[in-house]
Amino acid sequence: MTTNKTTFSEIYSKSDAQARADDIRIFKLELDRLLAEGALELSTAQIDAISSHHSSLLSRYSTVFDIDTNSKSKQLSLGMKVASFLGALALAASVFFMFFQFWGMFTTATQVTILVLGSIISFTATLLIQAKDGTGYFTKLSAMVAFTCFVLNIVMLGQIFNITPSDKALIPFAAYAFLLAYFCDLRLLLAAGIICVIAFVSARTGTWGGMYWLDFGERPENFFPAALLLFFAPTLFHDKQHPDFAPIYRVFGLLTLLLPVLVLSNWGAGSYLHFNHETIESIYQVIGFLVSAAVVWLGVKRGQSDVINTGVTFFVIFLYTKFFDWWWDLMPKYLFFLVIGLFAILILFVLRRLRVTESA
Amino acid sequence: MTKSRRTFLLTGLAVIAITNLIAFVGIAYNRIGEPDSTLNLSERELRIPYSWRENNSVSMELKWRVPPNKISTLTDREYAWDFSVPKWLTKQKLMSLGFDEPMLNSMVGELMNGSYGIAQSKQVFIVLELNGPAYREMQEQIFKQGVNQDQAKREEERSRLIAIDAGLDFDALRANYPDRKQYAILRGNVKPTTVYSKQQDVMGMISSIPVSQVNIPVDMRGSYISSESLGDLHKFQASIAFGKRLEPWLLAFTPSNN
Repeated sequence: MTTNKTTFSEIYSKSDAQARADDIRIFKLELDRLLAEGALELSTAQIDAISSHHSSLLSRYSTVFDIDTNSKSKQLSLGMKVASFLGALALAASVFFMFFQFWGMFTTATQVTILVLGSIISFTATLLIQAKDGTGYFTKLSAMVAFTCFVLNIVMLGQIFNITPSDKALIPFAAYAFLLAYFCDLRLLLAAGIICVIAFVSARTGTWGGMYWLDFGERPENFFPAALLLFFAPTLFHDKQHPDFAPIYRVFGLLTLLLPVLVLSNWGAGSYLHFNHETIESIYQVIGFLVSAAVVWLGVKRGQSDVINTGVTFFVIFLYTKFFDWWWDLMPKYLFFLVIGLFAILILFVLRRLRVTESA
Repeated sequence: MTKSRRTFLLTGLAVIAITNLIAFVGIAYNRIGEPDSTLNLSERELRIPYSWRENNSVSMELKWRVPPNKISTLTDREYAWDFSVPKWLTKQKLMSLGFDEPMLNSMVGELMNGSYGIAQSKQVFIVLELNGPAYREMQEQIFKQGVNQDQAKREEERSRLIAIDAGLDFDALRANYPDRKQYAILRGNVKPTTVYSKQQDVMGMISSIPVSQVNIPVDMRGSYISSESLGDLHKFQASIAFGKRLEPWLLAFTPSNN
């Protein structure tokens, strides 16, 4: 990923700093090649000035943002990201199951005290860890535990006191997840918050349609308002300090739109529409093709690879689903898969052509 | 501490505090004053669900039944998720609960042409009657149709809590069923379904009563600590109160192995 930001003061986030560091590393490699091939001549003073400037920038980025300055540390960072992601999920699961293992032995007062204190202590611990942790990996672990403790706090209160389940509980869950995500710069918590928003908006849409809120999944169209909200959120609220968050919003928005369309293109009985089910499925199949093609076009126009990839993936899924409907029973299996393979090659040619056009 | 950290800390603590406060206010409101109803139930009306090994919390689940449309199903069902269709939840009753008549009519047509879809549920108030006229009528019908000894014994162990009515107006239902020791009114979900009788017809079913589990606090369990040990308990009495928000809590729990 490259960046157009040129001065230190224009770098707001770790991802911007990392992108600039990667540009510097690639620039150094190419400059060495050009000098060796005689395509470029620079004086020693000029080379030293560039080298000194880059060293100074990398040193400041490393101190402020804890970035990877070479390819080996980048590979290690990838390993740390995977480890912290899995560790965060495992710790959250551990807290969840530990609570269930022991909580039945405590009195009600003790249970409530443990729940509330658990939320407060885990949240405070996240703040303290974030202050010391330059890498962000330990902060992710702690933030995930804090989020789990808060969700447990509310859910277990509901079980202890037999409270009627309500979709309104999703509002504080989302608020808490977004707070942790934005302060600690954590995409995992952002995803958790987005999932809560999707559930709440879809449940509300369902209740406005007259159904019980927990049944919102029975009508996949309930997800459409949440999908539009998420997809256009980064356009409406541009956030320079978290450039990595916009793709998360967009991808979740597209998944929330296209997955229900895919479901309805095969299951017309779940629609609010009062037509024959086969007609509904045909309508949604056409919508699926058109929307995923439009998403690819939009992604190409805006230069958003996450949008392009999601659009292409769903276009292919809709296409293959259609092929299955038409030909699975008609063709021998080897021929069916041969046709699928040939279409995949065709799509590759189309995408290569698109890439060449964009490069030009 | 920097300003942003202070803001983060205060905002997070505020979210935790406000959410818990709202929950506690709701709990207090539900339990304040006289309960809306109090039922003295037994192991016939309360089931201790299977609890997985890593969960030592203990709760009971309400077991309720409905007077079914077809008499032959009376001896079949046992658990709270009885999906048989109450004979009083007719198409007219569904319309009084706000279901659309054209939608109900179209359901039969959809069933006939094989394109039956999922009907939408609706939240209403359900009236549960404990050991009242509906239960006695069901008993008469069962024994009138003739049952063997095993079936008779099973029926003696089944729930006396019967769902007898539904409505959208809580106050109107309470006015019709004023005895708060015999009638509990809870929130539940109904949905239309098709039945095969002499002709295809639409009736309703009670798909769920969401708040039907009641936690047993540890100080009420006596020597029974876990759901596994409570599973050995064959007889008990429990007094359950339903508050202003129609949420239940346990007033008394008396085990008995007699």
